[in-house]
This record gives sequence, structure tokens and C-alpha cells, in this order.
Amino acid sequence: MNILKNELQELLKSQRLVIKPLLSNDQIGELTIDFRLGYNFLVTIQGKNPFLDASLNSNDQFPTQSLFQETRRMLGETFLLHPHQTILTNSLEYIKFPDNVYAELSMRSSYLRLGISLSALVQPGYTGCMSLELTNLNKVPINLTVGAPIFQARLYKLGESLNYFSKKRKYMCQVRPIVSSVAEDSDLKVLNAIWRQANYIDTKSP
Amino acid sequence: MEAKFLQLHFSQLQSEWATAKYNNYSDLRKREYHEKLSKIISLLEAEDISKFSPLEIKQRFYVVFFLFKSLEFLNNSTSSSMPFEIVAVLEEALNDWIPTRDYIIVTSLINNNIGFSYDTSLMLMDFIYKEIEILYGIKFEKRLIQINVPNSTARDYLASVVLYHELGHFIDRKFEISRVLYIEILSAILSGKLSAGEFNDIVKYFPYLANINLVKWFHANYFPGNKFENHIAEYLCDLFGSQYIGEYSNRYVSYLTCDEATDNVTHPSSINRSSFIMDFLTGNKKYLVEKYKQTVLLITKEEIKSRAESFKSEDFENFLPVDIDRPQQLHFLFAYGWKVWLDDWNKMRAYNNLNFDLTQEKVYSIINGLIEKSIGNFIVRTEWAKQASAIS
Repeated sequence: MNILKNELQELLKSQRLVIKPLLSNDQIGELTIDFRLGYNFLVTIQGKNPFLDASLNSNDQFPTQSLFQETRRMLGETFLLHPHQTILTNSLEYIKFPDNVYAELSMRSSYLRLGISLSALVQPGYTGCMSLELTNLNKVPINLTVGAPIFQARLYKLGESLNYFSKKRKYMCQVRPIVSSVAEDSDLKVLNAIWRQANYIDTKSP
Repeated sequence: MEAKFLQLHFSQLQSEWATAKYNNYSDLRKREYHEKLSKIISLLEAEDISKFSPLEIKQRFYVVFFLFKSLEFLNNSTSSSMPFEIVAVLEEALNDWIPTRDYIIVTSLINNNIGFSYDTSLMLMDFIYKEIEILYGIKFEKRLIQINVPNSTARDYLASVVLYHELGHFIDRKFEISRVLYIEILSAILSGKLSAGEFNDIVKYFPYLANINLVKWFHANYFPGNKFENHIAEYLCDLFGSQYIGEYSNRYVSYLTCDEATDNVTHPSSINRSSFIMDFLTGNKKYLVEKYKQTVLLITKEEIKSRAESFKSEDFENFLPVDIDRPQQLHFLFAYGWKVWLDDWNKMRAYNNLNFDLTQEKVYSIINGLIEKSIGNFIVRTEWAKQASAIS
């Protein structure tokens, strides 16, 4: 069930929903909450490694981190998003969601029209700045302002509560963007073991 | 001095400048400083070094040295290399002592994981600024406060408590507090008017002053960098830092020095340093601490006192940043972070309903992140409120 403005304000008042900082109450809309572009960015660079490795099959592991470089801005400064570039950034706001509320994220209409895409889900109980993977689908660079409300969250209530910390989380309480921890996925380890066995490589786990 | 060597020196600078000239600073003050460096380099390039007299070569040597030193610190002072949050809090502390914003705190990231230090080079060579003004008509309204920070812990808000101590070195040099204390303490001993308790308190922290001949020697042979002068300065900077972060800097340093029980030429023993700070923090009116406090007040017109505004919070244990209301509370974030780190982390687990144990690496990351976000949010909210009210 979509949570509407009155209930959003109740959640904020009771501090079951935490948004720090909430610079303007106007961010709380009838159906959505607007969130702002943060000041930390991870951008891909031309590194020694030839590709972003989402597999454990390579003998040489290519750490994802080595292909990203961090850059920071101050509030009000800008960040130039190049055509077809994907960057990692996060929301200016640090949030804590109730255990029975999740959110769907999308760009605000004004930014969708510029050609930036975003599609993400925030789970119940999530705590931290929201991670944003922004891609410029346009053919021209887009200059973004740090602190501008660029995306929105539509919040939904579940019939029951879920414990976000019922299992170990790769991303928790993050305040800066973090590169993909895909190599830590347990499924990849299993798939790698299958591949190793099929190729008579060495049956020990990596 | 040969012109060819200056040409080599300047060529090295030009090579460095080829990259550094594109440095991009969020801080307007750094941009302005950088633009002045650019002007000086342009004027240097227009000069014919080969025709310089020995005196002119020497003058330019210092100018090139100044340019290199400035770049060494500015290069590592972009918001991407050193967290602006840490610098902002240090500037709040600086502002307690020097209200006018005549200084820019800059950092050089070094490859030594315990290499925190204050670089005195430009401060001790103030004549360079005057010489540049005479030679090129360029005046620097703001001076650099140069602090070396370990590259590996540049984003470590727990280790950053040490930076208050380093800022203390700048305040000491600026007001020459150690110089006065040097004479005051030795004169007090030589006067013969100290009580046994007062004398013992001095000897506790400067054991070698039990030797009256050494006292006389120090009295007759002041020079910056002698053991007694160094030790006075270190105690002063510990005292300065503890105003903001309590005992945590000294506890951390004690660990880094393996609770060193003996002194060396540059530093008193870690045990004595901790003890001295506790004399201050516990309010014991010990002679030496009181002497320091009186001297600092006399010279700077500012009081040595607890300057961090404490607050009660369990936000970090709840995985939340703290809402800071006043700048003085910013300093307490470091103490709060240390308190949580030194705790057993059970509260974190219980308050957040964790079904797994937190690793030390994860707790380290969470505490650092929450301190950073608490400071960042305060800066953002302050800036927003200032401009939003001006516009509406």
C-alpha cells in the first residue's frame, strides 16, 4: 500500500522514519519524498585492469575498486555526468526506514526528461545514505547540482515487519558510495566451483 | 650559488606545476592562494635567471622553496583528498584562538601511518612572504597552517583526534607560549621560592630538572629545539588538544608509543603526557598545569578550558548520525566516537536487532561514517539555513 503524505509525516514525527538532514518540508509530497544528490561520487577510470569482473572464473582477480576513483564536491557545486557514463553516488540524506516500509526510487520527472535513469529499491529497515547508480542516457553531458532534489522515493507499507539485519549485510550504514561487492556473493562461489569442476581446474573453493 | 642550480630548481618546479596548476579547490581561499602562486610562477618565468647576482639567486631559491612547499600541501588539500569535515572542525577550534580568518589549514598526506606532525617551515620563514611582496608585488593575506597527515588514516575520524595536538603547535608558534613558559619555569626553580610540592610537580614532568646545573644550563642556553623546550611544547599541545577531545588523543598516542615510559629529545614519556592531561581534565590544581593555564591566558587572552560541548546521545549505537546544534558540539563527536569504539558493541547489536556479530572492521567503518555524516549534516544544514533565509 502506497504511503501518503499524512502518514509519512506521522512516521517522521515518531522517528520511525528518519531522514537526516531534511532541509525542507516541501520534500514530503503527496505520494513521494524528494531526495537530494549527495556530495560523494565514484567514477570509473581507465585502469590497468581490462574490465569490471562480475565473475570469479578469472585466474587473476580484477578488483572492482581499482577501476573507480572517488571525487567529492561541496553543496551547491556541480558534477558533470557524461553521455552513457554510469557513476555511483548517494543521497545527501541519511535514512532509516521502518521495518515494514520499503521504497521504490526513480528520478524526478525534470531529471528523467534530461535523460538520466535510475531504478532501485530500498528495503525495509535500511539504514544509511541511499546508493544511486546514475546513467546519462542522453547524447550530451548533464551538469548536476549537488544538493538538488533529483530523485524521489515512493514508500509502500508491508503487512508484516522484516528484520533488515537478520543476516549479514554487505552495505550497511554507508555514507559514501561503495563499489559493487559482487565478488562476495555466495552464489558466485558456487557457480565458480561448478565451472572449475567442469573444466578440471582445481576443485578447491577459491 | 650558481644560476644553473637555480634553473634546475625552477625547472623541477615547472614540472610539478604542469600538473598542479589544474588543481581544483572547492575552498575559495585555497583558489585565491593558488592563483597567487600562478602569478609568481609567471613572473619568475619572465626573469632571466642566467643574469642573476648571487644575492638574487638566493632570494629566488627561497621563492621556489616557498612555491614547492605551498604546493606540497595544497596538492593534498582538495576536498577529494582530505575530508573537508575534519578540516572544518579544526577550523572551528582555530577560530577559538584566532577569530580572524587569516589562515588556511592545509594537509600533506604522507606515507607514514603514525606521521602526524605540524610543519613549521613556512611559519618560521615568514620573511619569504615579505620578500615576495617586495620582488613581485604579490601579498598573501592568508597564511597556510601545514599539517602532515598519514595517507592511510586521512579519513579516520578516531585517529584525527591527534590533529588537535598538531593545531596546538601552530598556536604555540603563533603566540610563542613555549618560549615564555621556558623562562617562567626555569626562573621559578632558580628563584628558590617554590614549595617542595611545586618543585616535585615540575620534576615529575621534567625529571632532568632535578639537576640544578642543568636548570642553569637551560636558562643560559635557550634555543628552539632543545630537549626542555621540546617537552614544554609537547605538554602544551597535549593540553590544547585535550580541551577539545579530552583524554582520547593521549590514550591513542600512548598506544602508538607502547606506553613509552622514558622520554627522548623531542617528546616526554607517554606516561607523563597522559598524567599531565589527567591533571587538567580532573581539575587537580597541580602547579605545572596551573602555570600553563596562567601563561596561556596571559599571552593569548584565551583560557585553557574544556571547549567541547558534550551531549547525551545513543545515535551511533542506533546507527544514526547525531544532529549537531552548535559548533562546539562538533568536537565532542570524536570523544563520542571513541567511547563507542571502546565499548563492547553489544548496544549496537541489541538496538538494531542484529542477528550476527559485528566485525571490528564493520564497526570501524560505521563509526567513521557516522562521525563524518554528523559533521557533514551540520555543515549542510548551516549553509542551507543561511542562504535559504537570505533568499526568502
